Amino acid sequence: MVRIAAGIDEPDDGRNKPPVRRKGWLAAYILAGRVGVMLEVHCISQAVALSDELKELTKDLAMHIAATAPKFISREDVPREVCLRQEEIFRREAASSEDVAKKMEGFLQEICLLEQAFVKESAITVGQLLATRSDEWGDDITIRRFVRFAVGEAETVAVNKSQPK
Amino acid sequence: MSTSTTNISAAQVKELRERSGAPMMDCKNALTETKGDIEQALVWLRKKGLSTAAKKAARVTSEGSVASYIHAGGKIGVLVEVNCESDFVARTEDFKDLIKDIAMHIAAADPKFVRKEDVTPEAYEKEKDIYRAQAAATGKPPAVVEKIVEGKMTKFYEEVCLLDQPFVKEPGISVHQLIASKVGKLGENISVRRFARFKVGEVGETIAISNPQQEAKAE
Repeated sequence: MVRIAAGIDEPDDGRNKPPVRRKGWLAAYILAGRVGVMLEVHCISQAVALSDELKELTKDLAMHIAATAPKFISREDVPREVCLRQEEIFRREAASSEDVAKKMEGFLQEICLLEQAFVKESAITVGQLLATRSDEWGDDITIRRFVRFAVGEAETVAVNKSQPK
Repeated sequence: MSTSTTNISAAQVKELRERSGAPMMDCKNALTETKGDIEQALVWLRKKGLSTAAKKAARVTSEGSVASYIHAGGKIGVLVEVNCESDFVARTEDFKDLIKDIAMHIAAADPKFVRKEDVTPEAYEKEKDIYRAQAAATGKPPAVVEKIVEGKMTKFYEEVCLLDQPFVKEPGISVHQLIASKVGKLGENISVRRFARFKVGEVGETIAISNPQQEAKAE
């Protein structure tokens, strides 16, 4: 059920310094007809964009998102209100401020895709997986955005705000 | 029974049933009503499908399925969730075909909303203001200007609302009619819950969420 699209040059929006033309890839994964994920992964080189390895990675990431339901891509994407609200909840439960900080750390690791333990290799995080692959391939693999629908559940729409466009 | 009934052969019923997918008795009735004209009978069934769909429109759809479509050209992707009443219907080939068709349609036709009701008042007013300014510039009387604006707004829905768009694979019917024909065939209410459309390299994405259930409860 995984379909992967061909790489497409992303138009330069002029804010890039130095201008890097990133290639975009779309992949979708449907789990048992009830959970669907679509994501856009970016890289720099054409060779990587056309490689089977990138297709494999994109498929793995879509499956990961279907299974773990992250809410955001990176920590920087989490809105301040969400953090404050959660901190308030933890403050009521926990005694010390260290406990609150520890719980917040756990909370962010749970909801941010890049900080989650990768489902196929739980010793590393998704962020580490991307960094490793980027090193191996001499590229810079980033996740641009994803959307996750599950029947009977609220949807997740996540856009990477910190990624260079 | 009228004599025309005798003119309907089993082969005709079979043909209509294969082409429309409608239940056997509906096909027979359709042929009787239209005196054996298959094309007319298809129209008759479609109308019946619409009325069945209207009757079932208030029924809760909490089951369903999610499907994706990545355009062959590679730059457009769609994720869509369509709901029905039971898991049983969600598993049928008919339902799967429908949701696949809807996903492809969204990739091609680029709707921004599911239904008219989902269009935000801001988006609507903004468009209306533009049309009004254009019409007023022609120097026509205000009543005529309003008529022109109304006419344009009907097209606005056709352009931006999935259900009002002409179905890309069969432009003679709207997506709403396509769904209604499946409602008639499967006997369950069917609704498009939400969709997302990504285009590689485009900064914005379309995310359309529709929740008829909440409105039904509120009424």
